[in-house]
Amino acid sequence: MAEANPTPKFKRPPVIETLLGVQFGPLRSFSIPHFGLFWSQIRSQYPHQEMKPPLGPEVEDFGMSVTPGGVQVMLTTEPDARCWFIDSSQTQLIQLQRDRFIRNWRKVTGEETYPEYAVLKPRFEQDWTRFLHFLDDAGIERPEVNLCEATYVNHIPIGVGAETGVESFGEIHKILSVIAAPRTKFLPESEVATLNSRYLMPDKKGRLHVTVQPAVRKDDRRVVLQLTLTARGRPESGSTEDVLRWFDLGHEWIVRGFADLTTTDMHRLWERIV
Amino acid sequence: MMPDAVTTPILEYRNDRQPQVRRRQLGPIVFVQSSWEIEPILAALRLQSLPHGWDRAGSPPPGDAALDRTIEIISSVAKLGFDDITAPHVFPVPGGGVQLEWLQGARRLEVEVLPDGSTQFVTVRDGDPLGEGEYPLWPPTEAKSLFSWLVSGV
Repeated sequence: MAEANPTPKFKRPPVIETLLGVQFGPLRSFSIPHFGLFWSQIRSQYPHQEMKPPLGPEVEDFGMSVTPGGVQVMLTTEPDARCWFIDSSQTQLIQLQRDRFIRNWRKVTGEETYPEYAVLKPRFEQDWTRFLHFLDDAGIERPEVNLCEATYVNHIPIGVGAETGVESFGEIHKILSVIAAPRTKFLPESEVATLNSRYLMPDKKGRLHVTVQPAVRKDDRRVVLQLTLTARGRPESGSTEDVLRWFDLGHEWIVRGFADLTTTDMHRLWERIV
Repeated sequence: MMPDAVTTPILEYRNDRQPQVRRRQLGPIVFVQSSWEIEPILAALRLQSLPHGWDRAGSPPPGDAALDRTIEIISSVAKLGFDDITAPHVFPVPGGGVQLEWLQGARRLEVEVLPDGSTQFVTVRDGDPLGEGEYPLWPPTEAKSLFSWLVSGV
């Protein structure tokens, strides 16, 4: 039987990067050598590594205020790090730090096809489960997950000759349905436009953050509108089942949100099939 | 880091060199604040395609250090908040550097980015050099005073 309100689907979505990740209380017994020990277990699948500065902790507050931006200072008694473990195609990677486990998919050449959430979720599950088994074997406490996040980054080309037919940032109403076409006779076309919006999920299960920002991509010199949708929230529990259930919710909000926020002209371009 | 993202989409962390990757990579990206930034950023990036010896004296095209710094300067000027600044002209400099040139009436501000990413500036009025020194990337107030001088002559 057909789904009553199926989740929108696109044949050629403009997504260039996705992220599924969890945040947990810092693992007290997890130290620098454990990065290497864990890597040795996954190295056949993720042969490359890079060290990065750690990400600061995040809180999704459901009171009056939302997570403040700005500088965060962390006091720690031991060296901290974030490690990337990257597969041979460079498109799949794990980001690991004492209080984060994140799995990304990204376009590298620009020719890759988005593998779909139905593929990415089990890959997260597989790697996350492997990490939990590693912690068990190393005698390290299990993480207490306090936040889940799903992020989709989209690049929508702009400029003369762009496939979107949108020649300037003043025409982003042709991309975003939430922005009306200018009706004034006085104001010129807007020089540049950015957007930040947040949407609360029912029962305070999370929040969808949307940012739209103009950018220049350095390597292929394309002018793009970067549309980022991030869903964050707390799962029912830290169990893998509840984490995956929350990802389903976050993904649904991202996809339905993306469809709501963008115009039918763009849906045609991206070959919407549902 | 993305202004709002929790876990920071990785695009923004691709500023470092990745010698093991030989294929072209998407990103990193440069977020723009003003439409005038786009053309000079693209012009700077196009300089990468100059042939070796483009000046008939054996100069290489500008390298990553010079281009990254050039784009950083363009972006930082856009953040200064001047409404009346126009896009700078972008030129290659023999030896592998880049020159940015802002013109406002009789006043001119030239910023030269050397191949190693270090920077120098010269201020010129009616064709006469007025001052020179190291271009102040930080604090922003110092760069702001240079551009205040530039626009005050219009």
